[in-house]
Amino acid sequence: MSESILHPGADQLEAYVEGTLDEAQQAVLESHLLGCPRCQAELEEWRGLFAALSSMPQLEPSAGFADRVMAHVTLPRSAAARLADRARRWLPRSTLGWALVTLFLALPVAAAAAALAWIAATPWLSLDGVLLWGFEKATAGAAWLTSQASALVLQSRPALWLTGSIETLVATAGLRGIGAAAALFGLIVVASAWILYQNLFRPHTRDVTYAHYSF
Amino acid sequence: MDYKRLTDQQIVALAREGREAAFRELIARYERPVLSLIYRLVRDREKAEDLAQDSFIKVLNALDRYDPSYKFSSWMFKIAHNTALDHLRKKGLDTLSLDGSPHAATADETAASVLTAISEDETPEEYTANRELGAEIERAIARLRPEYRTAITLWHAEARPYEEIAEIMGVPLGTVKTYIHRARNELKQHLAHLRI
Repeated sequence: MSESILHPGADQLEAYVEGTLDEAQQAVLESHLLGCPRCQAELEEWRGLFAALSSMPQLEPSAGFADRVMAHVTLPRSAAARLADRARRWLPRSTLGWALVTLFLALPVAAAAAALAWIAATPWLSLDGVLLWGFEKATAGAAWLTSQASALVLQSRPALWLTGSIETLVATAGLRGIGAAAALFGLIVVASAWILYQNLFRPHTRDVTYAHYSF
Repeated sequence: MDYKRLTDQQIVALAREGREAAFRELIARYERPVLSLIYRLVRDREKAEDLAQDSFIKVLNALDRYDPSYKFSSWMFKIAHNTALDHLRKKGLDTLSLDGSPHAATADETAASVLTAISEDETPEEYTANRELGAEIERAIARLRPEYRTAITLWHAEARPYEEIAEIMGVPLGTVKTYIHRARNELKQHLAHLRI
């Protein structure tokens, strides 16, 4: 073979063995290899190197490696175990504590039982009647509470200031002005929501942070 | 539950629930590749095992903060790589000690610190030949710069793609390609006498 033939570079032979040449480059290289023993020999060297490197052995850790690692690992508690832990904190730790809790919890039960016994023993009272009376009283109480609360809110200084301001705004800017202000406010809300989404919920991109930790 | 059939992400999810078997499965999957990578960087069997242990402890104790959208293997190798590099930087070490730990005081300790590869079914002749070739390759790798060693080990021994190696090493993709290309050329020269 004449020395004037252009041989492929070592990079190309390496890429060929690695399998990263495209089809056209591969075809050109293969046709050259057919008639070039020098390049065939160099290709075999690359193949030998790849085979040798790929057969590098893996090391076997000494016995008990996993146990030694696990001795320093803190296992996370399961959700059920964490809940149980939290519940356990509220439980009494002494016999006296248990006795007091039992007494405390028994009081409403005993009171309810006594009330039921009294209703049953009183001929002019029925359970339905008592329940109906209780429901009516509760409804009336809730209605009174609601009216008192709303009166308190409506007559408060901020509420009076707000209604006064709205009246002034309608008188000066008119309904169109208020509509424009509302549209601007809506736009700001949408923009804020978008910025929050971008910063809080969108997944991270580059800068590989596999975990947020510090050692 | 057959943990072997689960993906890394599924195992991690179980480990985060506090299942010890899931932790042990992660160790079983990565103890050999991690130890091998660290050994090829620090060249000391005992030290490599200590550093591999430290790497696992760091990773497993931080599992609750792991972001599952990334590959677990990349994270594991990244921690192992950084742990080994930190050790090399601290000690100013970058030396070859293929025949055992330089810290070994007795012959037994030296023997215990020598690389023990997993041997598959080999004849005694194959075993000897492979052991000699393996030792030559290890010596040649030891002569490379640490970043070349990591890149070449991850590509050839662990079959990791260029992109993952770039993530593990925290360098651009082009740099990884350069590392591997240069490392192969150096290895080719170092191993030329073997006619592999």
